[in-house]
Amino acid sequence: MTTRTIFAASGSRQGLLLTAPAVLVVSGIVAFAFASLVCYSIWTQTYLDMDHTPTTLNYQRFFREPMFLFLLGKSLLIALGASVITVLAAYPVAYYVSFKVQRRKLLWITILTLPFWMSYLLRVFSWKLILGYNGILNTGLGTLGLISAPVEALLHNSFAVVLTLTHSWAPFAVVPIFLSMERIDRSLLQAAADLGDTPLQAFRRVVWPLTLSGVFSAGILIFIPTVGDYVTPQLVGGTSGIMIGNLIFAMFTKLNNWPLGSAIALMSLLAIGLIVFAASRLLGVHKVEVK
Amino acid sequence: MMSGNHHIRIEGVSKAYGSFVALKGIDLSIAKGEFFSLLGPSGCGKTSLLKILGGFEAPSAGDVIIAGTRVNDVPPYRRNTNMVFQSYALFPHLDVYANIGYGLKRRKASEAEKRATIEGLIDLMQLKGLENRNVEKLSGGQKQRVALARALALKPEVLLLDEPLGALDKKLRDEMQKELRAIQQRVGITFVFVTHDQEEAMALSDRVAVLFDGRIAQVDTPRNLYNRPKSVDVAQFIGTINLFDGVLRSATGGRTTVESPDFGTISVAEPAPSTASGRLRMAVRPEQVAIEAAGAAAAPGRIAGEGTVTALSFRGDRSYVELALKTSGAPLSVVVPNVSSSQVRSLDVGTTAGFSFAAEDLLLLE
Ligand SMILES: Nc1ncnc2c1ncn2[C@@H]1O[C@H](COP(=O)(O)OP(=O)(O)O)[C@@H](O)[C@H]1O
Ligand SMILES: [Mg+2]
Repeated sequence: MTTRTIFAASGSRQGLLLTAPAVLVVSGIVAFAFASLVCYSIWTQTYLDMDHTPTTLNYQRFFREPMFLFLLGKSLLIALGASVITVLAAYPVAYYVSFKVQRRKLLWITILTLPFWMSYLLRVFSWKLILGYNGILNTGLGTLGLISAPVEALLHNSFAVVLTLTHSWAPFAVVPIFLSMERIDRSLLQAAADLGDTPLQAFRRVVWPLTLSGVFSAGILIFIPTVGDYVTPQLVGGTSGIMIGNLIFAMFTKLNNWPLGSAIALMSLLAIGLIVFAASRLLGVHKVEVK
Repeated sequence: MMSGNHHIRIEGVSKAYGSFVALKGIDLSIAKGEFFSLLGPSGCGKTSLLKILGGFEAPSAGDVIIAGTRVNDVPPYRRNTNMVFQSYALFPHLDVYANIGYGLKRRKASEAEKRATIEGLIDLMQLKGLENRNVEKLSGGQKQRVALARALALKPEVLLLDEPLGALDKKLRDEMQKELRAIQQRVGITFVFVTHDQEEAMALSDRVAVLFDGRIAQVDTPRNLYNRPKSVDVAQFIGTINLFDGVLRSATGGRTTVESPDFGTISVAEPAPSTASGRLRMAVRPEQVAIEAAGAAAAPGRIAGEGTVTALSFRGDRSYVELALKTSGAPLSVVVPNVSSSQVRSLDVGTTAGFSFAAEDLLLLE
């Protein structure tokens, strides 16, 4: 018992030593990037020059001009929608593999993550091919005589963005949910049944609470990168599907206003942080110990 | 057995997992309020049988009848049985109180009644003060008591226990055995208790079924299992036993005459076991054998012999003496209580010792 704890302790210390260089480099880079963002956000762009006098003007602009808050709000909503839908789609898949498949579970998971082996751009483009004006869906529906003229509304809107994001990220969501299910001792389900729970009740009272941490990780894993995504909105979103990422991207490129771009980026970061925190409270994840 | 009082009847139950047959035609009946144990080595099918009683596995053949109703197709959540699982299966996301109250939650009783039930069990299991403790942070003995309380909370007709004391150390296990027996007597529920520990089965049970390889070898009271085992396997599994070869000479009116290379022709007041070849085995428990002076003649009603001491071991309250019989060289184990160890003290490895045992203690086995 004691020897095992000692080994475990030395094992984790060894792990710490081994990962330390990588962790230091990565956190150094992140800290540098973050510090740069903070600095830029309190400076002012004066045409080609940078005015280094600290100011809150960029933040004031962010809150004063409705477009910024609107775009941020919309991006958060789209990302939230994509995360929720993705998790909802991934959960039954993970459940099936974990609880119903008897053998070769890992093979199943590998096959499920196949779409992820394809380049991100290719995946987005394939949706363009499916949803586009002359795309597969319109052609198919037209051939079947279900529509007389191609429907334009399929592409270039928020729906297309959510759909594409969901498809892109679903495999990412399956894995953490699947892992949280695999950790559940199967005799717990028998115990629940023994104590009078129907399968549905046992799911609600045992499986769901014990997979909450996996659901939460999956949601976060998707939510954070999708809020700032600017590739998908640009390719399938059109003008009405534009998101905060596109704006930040533009600030750092075409519009050449790094200070304002930094302020928007930091405000987005803050919003994401607050939402993640609120969601963890709401789902009660902080009460479930992650082992 | 009191007929008409069968609480659980298991009729011709078999269980196959794919091509592997884990249970082969089990017939059992268990009385209401009985403490009944399933005893056997690991892998003999004890858990499988218990799971069939709990409804977690369906029998491949045969019927399970509880309180007069055939329950083969009744799912666990509709059975009036509860189980204490081998690994306790406590819900890790719930505290002690919520674990014990898990099954009560859906019941129609008032909240106050439910609270009273849970608190009563917390008292009974001496878990006071641990109500809000996470179950992962409990000791083995505490987990075991929570598992027991959780199963008892629903006041089942039958409690199924799968090696519930297996993970505890010896001292705690002895304590829990006493508590378990006391609780069973207090609540009056039929207990079906699985164990691979013969001492535990004997200490707790009204009756024990010994299982080998998916078959029942014998169902009996602990006393009879020990004193009247029906086969060599059972005799060897329940405690230690000395075995000698013999040949059946005659069997009349409940008396059997056997010829043995070690003891000559002896007559025992016991019916002969069924033996096709005429060969049989004679058996006697180590504590039924007494050490005698070498060369002493047998007292009336006793069977005597001589052997060379091959090992001696002192165990405080008793000593173990291992002999090799002069006649056939067969090994003989003797346990001598140390209150009367004067003969033992004069023994040494390599010396010759006499021994004897009562003819009536000799068992005839197939
Ligand atoms: N679900 C199962 N699938 C296949 N074989 C099983 C299964 N459950 C038990 N067995 C096999 O059946 C035999 C009896 O198992 P079990 O009832 O658990 O024995 P015990 O509880 O006496 O140790 C063992 O050989 C075990 O490997
Ligand atoms: Mg078992």
